[in-house]
Amino acid sequence: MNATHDFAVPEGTGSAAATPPAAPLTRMLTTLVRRELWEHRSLWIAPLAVAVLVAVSAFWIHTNFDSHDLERGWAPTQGRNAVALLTIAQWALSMPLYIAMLFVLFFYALDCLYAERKDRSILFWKSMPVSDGMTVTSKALTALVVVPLGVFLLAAVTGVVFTMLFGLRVSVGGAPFILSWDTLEWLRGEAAMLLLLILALLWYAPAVAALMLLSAWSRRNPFVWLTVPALAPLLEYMVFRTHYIWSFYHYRRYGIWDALGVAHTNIITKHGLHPFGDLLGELNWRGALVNPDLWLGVAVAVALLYAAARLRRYRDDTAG
Amino acid sequence: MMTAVIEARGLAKSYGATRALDGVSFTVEPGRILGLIGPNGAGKTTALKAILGLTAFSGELQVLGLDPRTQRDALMREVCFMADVAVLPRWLRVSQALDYVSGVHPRFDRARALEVLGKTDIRMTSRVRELSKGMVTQLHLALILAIDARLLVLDEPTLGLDLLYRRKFYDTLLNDYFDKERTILLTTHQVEEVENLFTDVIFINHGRVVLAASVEDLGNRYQQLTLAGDVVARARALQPFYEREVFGRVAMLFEGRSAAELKAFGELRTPSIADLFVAKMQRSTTP
Repeated sequence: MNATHDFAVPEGTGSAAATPPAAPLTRMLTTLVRRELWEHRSLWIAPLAVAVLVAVSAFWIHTNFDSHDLERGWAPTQGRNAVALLTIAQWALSMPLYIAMLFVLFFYALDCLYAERKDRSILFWKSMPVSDGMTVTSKALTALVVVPLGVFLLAAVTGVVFTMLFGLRVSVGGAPFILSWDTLEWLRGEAAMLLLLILALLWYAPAVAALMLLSAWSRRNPFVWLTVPALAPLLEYMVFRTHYIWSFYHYRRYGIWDALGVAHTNIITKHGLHPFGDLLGELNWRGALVNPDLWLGVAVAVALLYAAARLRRYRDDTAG
Repeated sequence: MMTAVIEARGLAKSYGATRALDGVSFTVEPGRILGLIGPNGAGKTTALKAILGLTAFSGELQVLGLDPRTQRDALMREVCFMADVAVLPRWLRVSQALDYVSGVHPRFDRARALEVLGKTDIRMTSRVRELSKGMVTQLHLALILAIDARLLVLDEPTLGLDLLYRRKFYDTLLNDYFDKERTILLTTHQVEEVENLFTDVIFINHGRVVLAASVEDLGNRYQQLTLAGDVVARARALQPFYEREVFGRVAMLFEGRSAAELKAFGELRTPSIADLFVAKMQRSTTP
C-alpha cells in the first residue's frame, strides 16, 4: 500500500489522486458469495446433513423385491436391469438433497435482503465499495447457481458413496446384488439430471427473484406477506368464482415439465427398467428450451432483481 | 489550492412534517477534523446519510468532487464510515471480517488491520456476538484504520462505551490515522471529551446550521467573561448572548467583542466548545 501518507506529502497531490478502481469482479463476487455462505450456513449444512443420511442409508435400506416386481420384470437380477436401477437410484437418492435445497433456498431468498436491514448490518455492508446491483447479483448467484451446483456435485458424490457402501453390504451377504456399476450410464444419468436442474433453475428463477424482492421490500417480517399470494387464489374464487391465479401458479409449477414431456418417459414401465440417461433422448429438450415462457420468466426474474437492487439503494429505514 | 472535501449548498430533507434538514450549507476542507454537533433529532445523522448517499435529499452536494446520489459506488472507495452503534453483523467472525474487506476494498491493508488488532484482546476465531461492545468497536476501528480513505465519517462511534474505550478510540484515531491528507467528520454527544480533537465545528439544530467555524476562529469571535459584583450590569450593556450563574459568579458569552473591551470587567477566556454549544442551543431552541 501507499506508505507516503505517513510523511509530509508535496502539496497538491492529495486532490489529484484519482479514485482507485474497484476490486476485480471475480474476486469481489467470490467474496460476496462466501459472505452469503457464512451468514446463511443452512445453505450448505442442510444439504450436507441430508447427504450423509442418504449415504449411510445404504446400510439399512430395504431392498427385497416381491413377486409382483418380478412379474413386471423390475427385479434387477439381470445385468441390464441392475445398471438401470443404479441410475434410477442415483436419481432417487439425489431427491432428498434437492428437497432440502428447495427449503433452504426458499428461506434464504426470503431472508437475504431483509436480515441485513433488521440487524442494521446493512450500514456496514454499505460502508464498503460494493454497489447494490453487485450485492443483489451475488445473492441471486448464490441461490440460482452456487448452491444448486454445489448440491448437484454433492448428490453425485452421495450416489457414488451410497453405491460403494451398498456394494460392501452385498459383498458380506447383507443384501442381494441389485446395483451394477456402469460408468457410461452413470455419466449419462448425471448429464440428464444436470440438464433437468438447469431447466428447473431457469423456470423457477422468477419465483426466487420475487421472494428476494419481497425480502428487499418488507419493512416487517417478509414471511407474513407471503400469506397474500398464498390466499390470493382462494380470494379470487370467493369473489369472482374464477381461478386464474390458481391456474397461473399451476402453470408456473408444472409448465416446463409438461413442455419437456416428463409424463411420457419409459424409464420405469410395466415391462422393465431403463437407464435414467435415456431421458437425454426421450425428453423434448428442444421444445422446453425454445418455450417463450421460459425466457419470458428469466426476463421477469432479471427485472425483479433489478427492482430489488433499486429498493436496497434508496430505501432509508435504518433511521438513527 | 485543494478542492473542498465536502461542499454542501441548501441541503433539505423532510420526514413527513418534520424538516430534518432545512437548508444546510457548509464546506469542509481537506485535512480537517470537523465536529458536527447538535442535540438528538437535530439533523446530524440525516446530514451524514446525505453525505454517504444513503438517503434522498434536495440541494447541492459534492463529496470529494462526486455526487453521492449518482456516484455512490465510486465515492465509497474513498470514504469510510462507522454508524452510530456497532453494526457489524453478529454472526461474523473476526477472520471473516478481514477476508471480506480485503476481498471488496481496493484500499484495504490487511497487515495494518492485523497490527491494530494485535494490540487488543480480540481473537481471530471469535464471532462478533461473543465480543463486548468495546471490542466490537475496536474491531470496526481496526478495519477502518487499515483502509486508506480520504474521508472518514463517524456517527457517534463511542456511544455506549466506557471511558477507557472512548479515550483509547480517539487516541488511536488521532495518532494512527489522521494526517494532512485525510478528513474526519465526527458527530458525538460527548462534546467536552473530544473538543480538543476538532479543528472545525458545526452546530446544527432543527435542521439548520447555528454556527460553523474553525476552532481558531472561535477564539477570535467568542469570549467568555466571568465576573461578579456591580460590574455585572455594566457588562450586560455590551449584550452578551448568553449568561449563566455559577457559584455566585456570572459567566457571560460575547460574540464579536474585543478582548480590550471586556477584560476590565473580570476574567476573560475563550469559551469551551461545550459551553458555546449549550449557549447556542438554548438560544436557537427558545428564540
